[in-house]
Amino acid sequence: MFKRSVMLVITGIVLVSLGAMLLFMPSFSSKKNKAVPTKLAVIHVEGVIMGGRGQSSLFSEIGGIDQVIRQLHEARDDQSVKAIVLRINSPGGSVPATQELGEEIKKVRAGGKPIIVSMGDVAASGGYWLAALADKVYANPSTLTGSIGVYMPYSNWEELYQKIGVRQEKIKSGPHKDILSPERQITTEERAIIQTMVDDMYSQFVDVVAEGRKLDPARVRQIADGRIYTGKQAKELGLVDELGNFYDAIDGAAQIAGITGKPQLKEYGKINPWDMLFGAEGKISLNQILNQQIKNDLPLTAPLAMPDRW
Amino acid sequence: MGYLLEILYDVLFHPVAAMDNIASRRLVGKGLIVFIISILLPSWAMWFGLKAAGIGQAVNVIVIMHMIGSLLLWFFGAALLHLIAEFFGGRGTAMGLFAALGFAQFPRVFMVPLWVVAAVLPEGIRPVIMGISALVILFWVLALHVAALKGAYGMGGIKATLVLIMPFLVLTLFTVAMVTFVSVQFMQWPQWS
Repeated sequence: MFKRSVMLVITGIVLVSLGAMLLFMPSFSSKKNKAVPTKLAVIHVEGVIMGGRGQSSLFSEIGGIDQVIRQLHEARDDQSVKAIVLRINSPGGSVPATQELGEEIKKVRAGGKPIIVSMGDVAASGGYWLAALADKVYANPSTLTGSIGVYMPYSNWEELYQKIGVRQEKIKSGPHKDILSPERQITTEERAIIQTMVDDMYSQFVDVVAEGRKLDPARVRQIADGRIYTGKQAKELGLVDELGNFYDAIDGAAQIAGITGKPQLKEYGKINPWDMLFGAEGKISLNQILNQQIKNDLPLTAPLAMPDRW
Repeated sequence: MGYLLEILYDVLFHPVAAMDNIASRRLVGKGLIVFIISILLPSWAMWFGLKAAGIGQAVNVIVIMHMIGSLLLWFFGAALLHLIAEFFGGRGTAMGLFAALGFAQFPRVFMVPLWVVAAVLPEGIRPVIMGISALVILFWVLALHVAALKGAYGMGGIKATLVLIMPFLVLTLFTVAMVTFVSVQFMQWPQWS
């Protein structure tokens, strides 16, 4: 009887405690009156912009635009997120990947969530393509940006192959199937084909900048000769809106989103301890990608990137 | 109900004798009830706490994962400890140990009143009290695990403790070996040519 009495007292204490929790926990007592928290999403575009999933490891996946698009979708669907700050630190990348990500940026903006870009060390070429699509662009005065243009690299290793006694022959379905092949000289006709492609992609790039920055396409063509600009020069040319760092961009985004006071930041793609131990490398270098493509013996997808080193 | 309350009293105040009784009678059904209550109540409290902290949608996933994880750990933990106990010369049944380990989770229910007490304390010492409470409950549960092994296999305290920590020891050794081998892979060797 004594044992039962003790246990009944203990049971009573536990049940009363549960009841107290139910009554006094703030999440329950003020659930209906609670205001929806206002957050700013911070999404990073780092390194070379490339299609696909990037580098995958046991615990993470890093580098490809698929991950950035997924983060954009998460931020779009999160009701508490009022605006998105896109922190760009990229020398550019492939045209299709940049375009794919750019289209998603447009859709998110059309859905009602403003996107504000903060440029880091460099936001050039494809990095600038993305920035041009944003509602507002912030750059540091010394940020490297611009590089509006497209190039398609081609190497001719014919003489090297002759020296080492390698002669490769191909059975082709068409005369241009091995276009940009490093084993032979590019023909005049092929050069014209590639030039047309580069021009077409360049026009698309110019259109994106003209539309995004509300500039005259002829004016964009004048400044889009492939050169890079500092953030300060870019501001004078109308390629960026404000000079300022990441925190200025945060303040600007909060203002656009109508958030009063200090905004709560929700950072996507944080490197966690697992990533540090087992994860893939955070940034992918242009050299790495070019070497990979050479190894695979595939023609390059037209890049719009600044050189990796000067 | 009355009998269950008496067993629970013994689990709290005379654990070795209680666990011996539970294991020999193989009270699996009652063990399951106690286990579910012991997991459900703190999980519910945890759910309130995490909601209050503004964690949002992740709360449901965390709580469900915690419950499923605890169930799996109970089942597979009992199997593993039974095997290790037999290696150490213990004589008992896996079902008996399984039931005893279910009862061993019971002190977890005290997390609920302890959290309520911590909630009314000044904010500065709240995390300290919460931490100490959680540690006390953890050691109590571990002590009941040792008692369960003693009761189920008739072992001495040291041997039962060794059986309990053996999986962690093996896991630690395995991790050390893995880290050593992985480190060697990334080591920069001198170039000779």
